[in-house]
Parts: sequence; C-alpha cells; structure tokens
Amino acid sequence: MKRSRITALLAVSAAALAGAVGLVPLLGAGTASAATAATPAISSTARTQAETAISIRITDLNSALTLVQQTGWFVGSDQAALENIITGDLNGNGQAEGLVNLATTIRNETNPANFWSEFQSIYTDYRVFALALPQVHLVRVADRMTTNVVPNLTSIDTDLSQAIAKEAVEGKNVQAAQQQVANLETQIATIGQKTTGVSTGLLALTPAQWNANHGAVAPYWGDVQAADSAAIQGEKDVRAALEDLQ
Amino acid sequence: MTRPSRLVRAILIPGAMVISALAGGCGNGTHVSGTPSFSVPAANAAGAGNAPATPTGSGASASSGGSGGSATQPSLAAQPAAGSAAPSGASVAPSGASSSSSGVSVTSALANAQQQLTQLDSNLSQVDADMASANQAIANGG
Repeated sequence: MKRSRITALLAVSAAALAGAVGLVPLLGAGTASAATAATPAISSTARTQAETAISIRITDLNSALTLVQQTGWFVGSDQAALENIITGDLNGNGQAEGLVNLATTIRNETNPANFWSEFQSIYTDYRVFALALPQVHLVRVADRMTTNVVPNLTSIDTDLSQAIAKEAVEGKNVQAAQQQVANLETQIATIGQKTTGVSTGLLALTPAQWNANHGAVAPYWGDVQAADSAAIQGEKDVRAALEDLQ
Repeated sequence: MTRPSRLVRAILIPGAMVISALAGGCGNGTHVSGTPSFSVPAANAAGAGNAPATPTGSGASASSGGSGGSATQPSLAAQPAAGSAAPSGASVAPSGASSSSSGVSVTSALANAQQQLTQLDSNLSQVDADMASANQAIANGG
C-alpha cells in the first residue's frame, strides 16, 4: 500500500514534468517498483522530441545566419553582433555549449536526471524562437529604417519641396501639398525617434534576461512597429502630395 | 497601391501570431499590426509564468522636422566641379542616388520622388516580411 502510493506520486510528478515541456511521455513507462520508478529510463519518444527540438532550432539558426550574412543594410557592428549570437547558439558561446554539441550530448545521455536538465536547456539556454530570431528580424527592420527608409523619405521630401517651391513661384496653390510634406517630415522624425537604440537594446538581450522577463523584447517590438507605422503614413503623405502636385 | 505583402500579412499573421491586442494608434486600415502577447508556449521548459507583453503605444510624438527644402537655387553655372574636371558635355543633372539638385524642373523632381517612392515601397514590403517572421518566431516560442 505504502509502496504503491510512492509509485503513484512519482508517476504523477513525472507526468507533470513531462507536461510542462510538452513531452508525453518524457520518461519511460511506469514499473512495478518504486526504485525503478525513481530512476526511469529515458523513453525513445522523449529522446526523439529533444532531438527534433534541437534540429528545428539548428535549421532555423542556419537560415538566419545566411539571412544576416546576405543583409546589406546593417548599421555599424550589428551584423557581426547578430552573427555572434547565432553562431554562439549553434556552436557555443562560453555560457552554453551550443545546440550542435547539445544534440550529441542528449543523444548519448543515459542518466534521466541529466537528460531532463539537458532537455530544459534547449529552451532556457538559447531561446531561439523567443529571442534570437526576433533579434535578427527586428534589428533588420530597425536598420533598414535607418539605412534605406529614412533616406528614401528624406530624398522625397527634398524633391517635393523643390517642386512645391517652383509651383508656388508660378502662382499655383500648393497649400495641400505643403501640408502633406510637413506631415511627411513629422513621420521621418518619428521613425528616427522610434528606431534610436532599438538595435543596441535588442542585441544586448540574453536568454537569461528573457528568462527573467518574458516581455523583454516587447518594448523594442513596439518601437519597431511604431516606426513602421510612421513609414507607412509617410508613404501615404507622399502619395497624397504627388497627387496634389500632378 | 497596396503592397502585396500586406495582403499576405492580413491572411497569415492573425492565425500565426499570438496577438493579445492590436496596438492603438496605427491608423492604417490596410496595415496589419499588433503586439504579440509573448505568451509562453506549452513546449516552454522554463515553466514560469510569463509576464504579459506590455504594448507600447505607437503614438508618434511628432516633433516637427523643419521646413525642409532648399531656399536658394544656384544657377547651373555656379555648380562646382567637385575637384575634378567635368567631361565635356557632362550633364549637371543630379546623380541618381541622391535627390534632385537645385535647378531641376517640377517634372524632374516629381519623377525623382516617384522613383524613391518605388524603392520605399519595396523596402517597406521587406520590413513587413521581417516583422511577420519575428511574429512567427515569437508565436513558436521557446
């Protein structure tokens, strides 16, 4: 009676742990003895799930690395910083052994407790989806705003201002176009405000920081989104001004 | 002109990402925007409850960017040769990369603006794609 209660408790605990990481079942099937239940075998299902989780992340990180290397509009050292993050996640960075090595470790692991810890580390030590990939894409956006979008809009601002000046000299009513250009300049200023510091802040985030604050990326996301909205509004202002002037 | 990727986003993103609420202040009917909730997926090993995302308002505090535009338009003859002898017959038209220099016609200025607008449109489409990818990654979690 007493032994069966212990067995049941261990089984429940194992199931709870497995559920916490979406593993059903993480551990091997229950056995008759408490001693066996306390040190269950690592199920092939759990091993496969761990290996799959790592494989998906390695694939996505490699794709992200290619994307970063092919990006031509990064500001300053942002490209190198992103490459460091990605290659660190893949091959180790002094904080973690890297997912490539972790795959081998997990494949050869025979100790269930170690396996469990290693499985957790796929998430806690890397945060590939929650942090690394958003870092890549949001820094790309912020830097594209700086390198391409703002210069586009600024150039248009100059062109439209010149056209307005000439039309005004010729006595045409350019009030509406002037207002659109003023609005455009507001949007350009907003983009600059919202993207300032975004890349630096994002690139400084670590998995440990994300673990402590799951909303760590959110402020940067908000800023990038606000910059994008401003750019879209600026685009509308440009179209309206062009329509007024043509 | 609607950028194609906006349509793609309108179709794909709402189902893919975890949006707790659309951020206010975007003011763009065609642009799908939202702040992901940053919720922790079931596969998250951390187990700790996640802090809800804090949507940051997008309310563009607008400082005026000034009046822009050049006030003076020097004559074409006054343009310096920038240290190198200009080839005979060289046009004084603006280089393609930058905006039009002074002295251009309204038609030319508007054409330049239109050209930049095309590039802008392309850039913003790529921005959309990156933001969608970031959303997708966050939705995958972990």
